[in-house]
Amino acid sequence: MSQVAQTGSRPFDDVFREEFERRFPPLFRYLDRLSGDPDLAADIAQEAFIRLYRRGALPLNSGSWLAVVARNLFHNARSKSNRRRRLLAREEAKQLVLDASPSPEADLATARKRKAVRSALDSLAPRERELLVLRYEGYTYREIAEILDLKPTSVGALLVRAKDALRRALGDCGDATP
Amino acid sequence: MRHLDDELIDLYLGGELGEADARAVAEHLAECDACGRRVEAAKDEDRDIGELLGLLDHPIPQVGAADVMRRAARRWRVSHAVAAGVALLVVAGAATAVPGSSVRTWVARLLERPQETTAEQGPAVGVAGGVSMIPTDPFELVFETSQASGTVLVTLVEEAEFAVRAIGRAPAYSVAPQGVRVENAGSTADYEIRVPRSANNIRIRVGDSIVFTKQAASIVAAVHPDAGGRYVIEFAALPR
Repeated sequence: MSQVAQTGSRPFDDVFREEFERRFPPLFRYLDRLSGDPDLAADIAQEAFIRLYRRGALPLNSGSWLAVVARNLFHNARSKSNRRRRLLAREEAKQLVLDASPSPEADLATARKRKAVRSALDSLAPRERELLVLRYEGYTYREIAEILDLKPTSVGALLVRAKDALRRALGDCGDATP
Repeated sequence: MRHLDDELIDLYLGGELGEADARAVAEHLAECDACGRRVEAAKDEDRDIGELLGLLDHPIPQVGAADVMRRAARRWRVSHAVAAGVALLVVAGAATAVPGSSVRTWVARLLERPQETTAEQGPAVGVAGGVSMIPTDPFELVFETSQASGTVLVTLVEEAEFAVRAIGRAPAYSVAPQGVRVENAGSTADYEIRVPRSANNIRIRVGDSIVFTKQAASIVAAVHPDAGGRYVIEFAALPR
């Protein structure tokens, strides 16, 4: 039942630094892709690491522990404010400026594709969106099950359905064809 | 072996299969062109989805572990300073003692709002609140329910007072003559609990699960102590 990772006699600060270097980028990307809001993603990822540091010991699986903490913070933040909606509106405004700018053709195509991917991802059910973002960020089935509170045996089937849903959603957005 | 379905292909490509299953799939693929083509198509699709999601990425912020450690330490200093202030007030008045109880009690809501977490700028997190008292014999701390996430960190201390403090959104505490109840339904907070070494009979319960008991010098806990002698109990590891 022990849920504490064994770190031997190394000082926790050293262990924490290593964990941070290894796990901050994927945690940030997970939150960034989920929210479309890099500032919020950075705030929450740092907060999750502050909690890990204050905990004073590594959990058994710090990857999924950090993601669970960050996910809870994200959902709390989103339900408490309209920040994301305002930011999305700002992003869309930026996107319009970008679309209207005299950028090279390739940049415009990429910008359109990015916008279409964002729309497709946002159109999915929340669980499908999270499954895909976690999976393509490299989290294992077991970690995904822990993070999303699912049975490990159901992750595969749910992922297949999520991919189908994304494929359909991308099909509705012609600009996102790879 | 039967033909591979989408789920098995995903498990195979993701390296999620055990050795024997992966070998069986590989053997099947060596003989079945149709499944081989489906696996290749799935690989292509995985690569495409990965590239498309990558379009959404922003640069990784230039934040170092040292920044995070500094911020965590700053919060400690602030919260300890506030706690010390509260303790002084209580010593002066002891006005909040529970009727009918001989214990000296206080309930402190320590609103420690970090600079970076205003409603406009980010998530409202980092709120701390706690209860501290001389424990009765016996004394029980009860979390009314388990949590989807969060940690209970139990430390033995030399002081005479038993303390519980939330890191995260502070729950409500009900103080009774022989214990404290933490109304933590829906909470995701972490908790620090300080148990006096001198306490004779302490019990910590999460719902119906007893996770820590101390009777004189004998301690029984749901987890082994870590190198620092602390007991780190994950709510997620407890029976629901």
